[in-house]
Amino acid sequence: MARIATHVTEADVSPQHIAYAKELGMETVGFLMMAHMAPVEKLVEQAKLMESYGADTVYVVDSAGYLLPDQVRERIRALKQSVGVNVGFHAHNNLSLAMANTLAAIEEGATRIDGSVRCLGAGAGNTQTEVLVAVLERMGIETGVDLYKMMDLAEDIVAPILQTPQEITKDSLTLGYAGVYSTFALHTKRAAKKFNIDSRDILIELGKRKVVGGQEDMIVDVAAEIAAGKEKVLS
Amino acid sequence: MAKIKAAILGSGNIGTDLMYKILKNDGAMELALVAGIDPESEGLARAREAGIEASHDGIDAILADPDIRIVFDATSAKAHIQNAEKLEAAGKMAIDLTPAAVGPYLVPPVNLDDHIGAKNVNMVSCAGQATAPLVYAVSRVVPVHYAEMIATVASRAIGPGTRQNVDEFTRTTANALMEVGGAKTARAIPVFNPAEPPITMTNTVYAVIQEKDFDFDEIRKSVHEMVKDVSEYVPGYRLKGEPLLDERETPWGRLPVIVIMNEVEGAGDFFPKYAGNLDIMTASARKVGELYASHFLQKEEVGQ
Repeated sequence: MARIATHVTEADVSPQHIAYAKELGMETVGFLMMAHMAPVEKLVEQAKLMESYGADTVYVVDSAGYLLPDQVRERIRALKQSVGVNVGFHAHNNLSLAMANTLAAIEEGATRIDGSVRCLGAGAGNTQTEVLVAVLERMGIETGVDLYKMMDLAEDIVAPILQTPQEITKDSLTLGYAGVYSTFALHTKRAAKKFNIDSRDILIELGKRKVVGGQEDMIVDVAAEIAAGKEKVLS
Repeated sequence: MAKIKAAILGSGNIGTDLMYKILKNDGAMELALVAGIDPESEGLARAREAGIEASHDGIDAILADPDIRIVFDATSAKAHIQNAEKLEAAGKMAIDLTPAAVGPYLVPPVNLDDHIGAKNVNMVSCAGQATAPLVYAVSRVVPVHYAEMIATVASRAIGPGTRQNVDEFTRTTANALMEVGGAKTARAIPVFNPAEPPITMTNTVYAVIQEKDFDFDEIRKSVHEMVKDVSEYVPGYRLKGEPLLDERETPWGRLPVIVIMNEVEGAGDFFPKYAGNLDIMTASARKVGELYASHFLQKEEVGQ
């Protein structure tokens, strides 16, 4: 499978890559990241573009873990009404809403769902796969996944490789609260330490500046600015 | 003073902004013609309005005037490949603003002297014009093992041509960081940001150094000098802050990394000011035209 990811408004940079993946005979997913940053109509327009380039599936990607269940609902519903291909949903658990959002997406007709075992993903991780398997089973949705084996995998294989247990830390929470790309968390922590400032201040400022995925370079820029501002106040 | 006659081929946005830049700067070039293929184009109307001859006969109009010595090609990569041959046969110097790269990459403060005899030079890409000088500023002090640049540009300032060929844009830029910037290996990452109001072009350059002993102050000085050189022809080109020396985990171990953050604000000649990416292309092309025109004049004086 190939996933071709673009920022939610920039689908028109993807035709080359979608065509190439199709040429290689791969199932091809158009992955619209930071879906919270565009109005629903824009998201639909961009998903249609990816469909027209040949994508087999289009995804609503909540890269910042910012969306609330109703916002997920209206996005998936709009896509189901306007595209003919599969619709998928990718959650982050920064606001503890990954499971709730995933269920909302499924109820609206999403048929591709992402999870991460033991929440091993950026920020607070994604919908926890082994938990999702259990929940779906309770809901009467057949997954074909062995629940015990999945739990063992999470506990015995994945948990030991996590540097710290996956929790909603104040940094992850701030990602979801400010609408910032989840992979920014670790870089921000480093920059906060280097410049001796609060990482939350960096994340909030990044959210205000509407940075998108790939702009990790802005973290040091913003950190340096905040640090310089602080120095000015002190002196 | 005698001047060298120049023409702009392509009456789209790039050609039009370039026209205003040439008219604004009095130098060794005289803009004799703007040629396009669409008789209704705004660019041609604007040329006439500015008192410049305009034609919709495309390259034929340029070839018909033997006095035109320098031609700026602001058409498309595909068109330039054909134009290049015709211009060369007619003995005209081509400054190529398309991604065709028939001739060598040219970044004015870095490698003009290497190509002073060239008949066709390529202006790389906006990100290449902005960041190759910064990589070179480091590599002239200490070898750069790996250079990476992230160019963030307002979504509105990225045209359909770049969008459909974003891989070529990325590869061309990375190549320029090596061939012109002097890095051993390189990577280019363009980011298109749709924020409103549109953001100004910002570029970050990371240069990974393997040498243990080097003088960071020397590098900092070199970067400042380079920024000054570029800002002479791109007035909105500046550092966002002092270059930083960091240490990072890299595929080659924990190594010193120099971080340079730069911003390019356009002059607002035809493009809006946030479109520094487009401005640096036309401003650099004008500068290159000016340098070649002066060179031609000098040669003729010596010859007489």
